[in-house]
Amino acid sequence: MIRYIAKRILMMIPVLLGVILVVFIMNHISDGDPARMLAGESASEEAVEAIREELGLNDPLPVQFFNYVKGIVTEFDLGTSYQTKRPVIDELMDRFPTTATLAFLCMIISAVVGIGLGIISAVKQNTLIDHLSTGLALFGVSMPAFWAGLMLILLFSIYLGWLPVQGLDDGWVSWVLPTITSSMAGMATITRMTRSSMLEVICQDYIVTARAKGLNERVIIIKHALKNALIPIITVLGIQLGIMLGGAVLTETVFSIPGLGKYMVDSIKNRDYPVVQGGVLLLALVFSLVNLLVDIIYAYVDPRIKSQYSRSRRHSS
Amino acid sequence: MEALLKVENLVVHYETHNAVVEAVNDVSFEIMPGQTLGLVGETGAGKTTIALAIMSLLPKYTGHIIQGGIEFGGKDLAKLSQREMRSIRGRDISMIFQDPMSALNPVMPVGEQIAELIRLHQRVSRAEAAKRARDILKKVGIQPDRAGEYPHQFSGGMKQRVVIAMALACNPKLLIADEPTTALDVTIQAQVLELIRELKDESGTSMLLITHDLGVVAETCDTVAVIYAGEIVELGTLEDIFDHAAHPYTQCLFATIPSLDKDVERLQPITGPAVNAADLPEGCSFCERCPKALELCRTHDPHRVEVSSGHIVKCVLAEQGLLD
Amino acid sequence: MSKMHTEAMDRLSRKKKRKKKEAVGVWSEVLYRLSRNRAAIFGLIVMFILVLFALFPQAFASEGYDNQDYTRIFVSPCLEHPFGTDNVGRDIFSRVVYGARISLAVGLMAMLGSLVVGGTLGALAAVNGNVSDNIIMRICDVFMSIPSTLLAISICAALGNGMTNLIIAITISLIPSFSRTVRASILTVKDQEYIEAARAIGASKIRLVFRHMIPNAMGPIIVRATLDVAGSITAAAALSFIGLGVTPPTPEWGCMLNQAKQYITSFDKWYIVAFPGIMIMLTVFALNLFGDGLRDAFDPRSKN
Repeated sequence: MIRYIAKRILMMIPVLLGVILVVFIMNHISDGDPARMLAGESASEEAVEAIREELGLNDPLPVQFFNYVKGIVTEFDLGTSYQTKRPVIDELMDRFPTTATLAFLCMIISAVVGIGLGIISAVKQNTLIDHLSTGLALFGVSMPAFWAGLMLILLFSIYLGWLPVQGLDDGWVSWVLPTITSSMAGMATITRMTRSSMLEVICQDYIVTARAKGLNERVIIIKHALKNALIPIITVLGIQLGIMLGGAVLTETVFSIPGLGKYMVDSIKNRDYPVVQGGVLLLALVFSLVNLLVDIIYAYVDPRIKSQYSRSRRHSS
Repeated sequence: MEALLKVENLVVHYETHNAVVEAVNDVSFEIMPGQTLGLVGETGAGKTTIALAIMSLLPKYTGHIIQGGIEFGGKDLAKLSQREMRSIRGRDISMIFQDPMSALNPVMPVGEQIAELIRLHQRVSRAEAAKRARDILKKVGIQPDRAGEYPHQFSGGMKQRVVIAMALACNPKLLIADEPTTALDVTIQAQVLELIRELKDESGTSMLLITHDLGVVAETCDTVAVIYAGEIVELGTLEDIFDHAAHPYTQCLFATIPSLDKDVERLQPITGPAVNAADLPEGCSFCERCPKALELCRTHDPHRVEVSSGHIVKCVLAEQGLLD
Repeated sequence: MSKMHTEAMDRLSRKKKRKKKEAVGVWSEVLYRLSRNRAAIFGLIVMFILVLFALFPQAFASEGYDNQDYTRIFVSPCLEHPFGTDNVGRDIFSRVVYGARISLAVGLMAMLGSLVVGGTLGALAAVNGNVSDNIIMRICDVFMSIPSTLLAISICAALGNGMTNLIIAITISLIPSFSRTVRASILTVKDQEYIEAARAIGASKIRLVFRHMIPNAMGPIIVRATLDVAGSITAAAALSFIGLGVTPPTPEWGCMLNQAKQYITSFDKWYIVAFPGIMIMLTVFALNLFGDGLRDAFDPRSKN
């Protein structure tokens, strides 16, 4: 197992370097002179030149890239915000916990609801419940989250007045709508995936074997079918978390939540590119770590992968 | 002696959205306690469907028992509730499936898959069930300490041994073996067959052996039913079938296998395609391929005729006493 | 004929009488199955209407998309303005009709872009294998480790606003997963025994690729492309919603929502956020229905 994890971590390094390169290139495409942005509109040409020299912007690009990577690896240096002149990493980390909490909450809700609905729908295939939940899931997949958020605000906050319109200042009630909004797509996708995965597993031979043993349908579904059906779902969960982290940008904008996403959108408007690209880098790193975790869980749940890397291989044929 | 399993006039159809497949047509047979019945026929003849009907494991929406009774130990299985049927499956009737590669749950250790069955039907502790599972693994020739391993860690033959262990774990009264050796290497086939026979004799279990291999039948069965297009065309003792084969289809089957006793130039294939079970002919189902077909065979579906005691043939020739 | 007649057979023969033509060939069979799928046909009809909107907006819209009229701001839906009017008195229905043109154009262009680039990369990786496969797939890994919305946002932020940049950003964000799909479906087909069989009977390489591989690998790719159009439309709306990509007064649906969102302080103005969003949802829903139908038609096993 440790060998497997080590291998996966090693494989992550070139990918993350690639991500840094992409972000680095995008930083360079962005219009605006970083030194001028940092120095301010009124600064003298000499002051700008001094900053440019200090930031190493006069070095050749490969050197700049090398220094950029070095800065990130050694001291998480993602540059300085044009707006606040604070290190980007500090600005990001101030807001990251909110976004992470929201994504985590949504993940749990969409996993529980999605897997539950998917199972029911597969087990009761072609019944009213199945048609209803597949229909709902298709709607969920098709509905743009930011619009759904606006409509929910309109209904629950403005018309009914039950929930706050925006921000997170009113305790747990203020989390309700954002959580629902950004879970919807995930819920729908997971429902669809679980359903099709379950349907595929249910017609496997080993399910017939389980029936031939005299097990009752519930045990067959929970003990035999589910574990097999969930293996592909684990990957979907990882991908969904990535989508939710990306979607945070929209949800947080709709609900004015002071998280990473809204901060990035504000920074786009302010042309504060180091913040935008730093945010992308941070989220990509989190996404990669989540996928690493997913792969480890995957290997743990699926004995076929696990045994490839475990030491007790004496019997394997 | 009372028969253990009595199947009477069984008709099973598969109803899908674009066809009704007549998989089993008016099939009747009996299995005596301790005896083995071989069900022989080509692929698609409805052998597996009969097995699934007995287990009441036909596909939920498409498979339907149209008529007929399946009596097991004096109980009509078709009339039992799902719950009662579950207590029979695995305990009184168990099944060995054709493909051991896919018959075992890939994410559950094999020992646990056996222990689960034991715990379900015999009220024993978890530890006791695990112990019995190891014992039975040993009996089928697998080291007991491999109980914690997963199916993918076993070879095909070994997996089939696990399946056999599972089928025999509760000493069932009837064992249904659906082509237990088809998916295995030829060298393993004999071993596995021998193992099934040994264990079955040891526990006095009756067996319904489904196969398309007449050699397997000759070695294992007491009585034989030859099935074509969902009908038993000939039924009798091993001797009846092997030495006095009466139905043209049975005779054709024997002509397809090489023999050491007779000097045959060429093997005789059965010509023509198998009949489409979604569109059975009016007369005898075999008449299109039958070398001895009469004009009458096209329009007349023959009845079953008992040519000698217990030897039943379903053929126009038998009806008219024209058998050689 | 049958040995034993049942009601099911009667039902079936009645049904068979109703449907006349039996389909032959892979493609006509796919079309036949698709035509039997009511949901997919519904999706297709909605798509058709939207395409009409996009091609001939003048025929449907009562006025232009930027006809401001301060004498009629925030008119609730009525006969004259079925979707109401917005903060500067523009007819929302007319704007929404013109918006179809932009959304469909972006969706289609981004899909075609990723089809050409991603398809080529995926095919190269699958057919050549080894080194090129490794390089292409590692690059895909890099791009796929950035959540696609985020990737599109950051590209768009770097390139600046504008419809072209929006399309480029979305295309780039689709390419990696598209090339994976293409690679995977070609690889699946490449190893099939019927390819071996065709090779064994001496089929030429060109015949092998065009007659055997492409038709059989096409299914997942077409399905993917359809669903990608839906994805691009949502992505375009999302980007415009946060102020990237298309800028006002262009009647892009996401852009309309961006402007409308400041007016949801009271419930009476529900229509200015409701209708543009409904249009996005309807479009994406129709494409998803059609895509699902296509998938079932290509692979009937996946349905049950």
